[in-house]
Amino acid sequence: MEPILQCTGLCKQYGKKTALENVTFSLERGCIVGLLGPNGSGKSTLIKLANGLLTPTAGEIRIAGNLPGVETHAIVSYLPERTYLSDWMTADDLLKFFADFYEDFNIDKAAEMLTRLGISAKDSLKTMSKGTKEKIQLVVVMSREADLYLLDEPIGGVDPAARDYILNTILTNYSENSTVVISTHLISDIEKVLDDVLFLNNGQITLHKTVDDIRSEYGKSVDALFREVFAC
Amino acid sequence: MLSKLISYEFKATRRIFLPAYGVLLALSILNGIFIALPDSILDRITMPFGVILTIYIFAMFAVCVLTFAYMINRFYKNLLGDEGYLMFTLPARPSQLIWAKCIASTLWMFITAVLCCVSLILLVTPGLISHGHLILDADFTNFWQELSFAIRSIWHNYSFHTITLPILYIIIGIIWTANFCMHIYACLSIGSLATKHRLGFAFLAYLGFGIVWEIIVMLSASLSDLFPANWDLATFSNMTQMYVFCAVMIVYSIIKLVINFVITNYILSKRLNLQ
Repeated sequence: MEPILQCTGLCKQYGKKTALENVTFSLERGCIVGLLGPNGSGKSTLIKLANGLLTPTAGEIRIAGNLPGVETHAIVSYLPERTYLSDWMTADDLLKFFADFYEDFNIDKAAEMLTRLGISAKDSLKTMSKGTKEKIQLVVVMSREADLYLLDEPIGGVDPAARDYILNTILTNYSENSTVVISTHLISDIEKVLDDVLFLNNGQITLHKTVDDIRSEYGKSVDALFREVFAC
Repeated sequence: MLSKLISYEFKATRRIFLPAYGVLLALSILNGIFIALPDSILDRITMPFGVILTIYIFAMFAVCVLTFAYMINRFYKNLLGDEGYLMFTLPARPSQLIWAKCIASTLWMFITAVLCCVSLILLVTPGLISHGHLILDADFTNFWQELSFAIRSIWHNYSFHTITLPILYIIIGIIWTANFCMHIYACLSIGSLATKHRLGFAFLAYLGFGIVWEIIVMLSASLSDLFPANWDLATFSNMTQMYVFCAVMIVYSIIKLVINFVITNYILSKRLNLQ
């Protein structure tokens, strides 16, 4: 089967600074992958390239065989590391917006998740806290029945209590045929849900293994290995 | 997809424009009532009338500035700012995102222009009636008769040109406005290629475009002097000259619109770098 995400010789430079250098890897369907690396290692750049928000300097990135574009946007659900919501909208407006533009959006599921979180659909996004907005973004992103979920720092800005809810939301809302890529440096919190791990350092992939292989080969957890590899 | 994007664009912008239009029309009516008052009363309320009239002038100015500023702000914030993370990951082509913004902004500018005219009519009409410059019968019989007579005499003199020329002018106005919006979008897109001071670079791009365009116009004027055309416009009738002028204006505006669109679309499709 064609990989859901494939990078070949992918490079990205911002002026003279190299963000990604000759990145080559592929991800299969039906797994949860941790994209792990310290701050500034190129995680967000890689995810933005997969969404077509950045243009590669060299190489290519393909999703289900296609370059980023209309076809891939229809099957990729993306959670950026920042808030992209329009303040004039209410939560209800946002659900209708997603239902209008994404055929795979399950509006009933999203409404139910908002209710469980105690967020009123009639409330304006302008009046909500940053944490609440992040939860709403996660709700709409995970309410899509997408083939690939690209989640950039989904637990970075929320309190530890909310992290469990978010991870549980991710685990219970993706189908077996989908792949979830979670970018983070908070490894201990997400290690339990990961199948595969990608270590990214200074724009290069330094490790791509399953969590089970890491435990058997190195005799330690992913978190412990990460701390060893990226020790300052 | 384009219709969905346009509908979303109107939903996002109407909450600003409709109240602004409402305030402008209300102020025109209020000022119109003041102007219609007899001079003896108006002399006693000079101060409040002056204040209301000043507010009206500011409101008219503000609505025009708002329409212009919002056209820039919507494109910059919604596509090149954080909201672009959502817009550019929709299953829509960048060209559709650009046209949705352009069509919505053009329509708002058109509506603003029409509304400013309506506002001026509302401002002056009560005064003209009250001071006897415009006499209307209670049943409007004379008014309609005079209007019908005026239309018939214009039709007699200019026949179908009475309809076709104003329509052509409106078409020119709409294409010119769309090109104006697209030109600003092209400048903002060029500015987005910079890593810092993007609005500053967009302004420089605007100035650069102006200089390049002036050079092209000067060169084409020199070329037409060197190679004069075989036909002389003066040999055509006045009406034909008007149609030639309209056709040239339409083609000229469309060419500029297409150039600006191609630049914007290329940058947002092939060189997008949201930071």
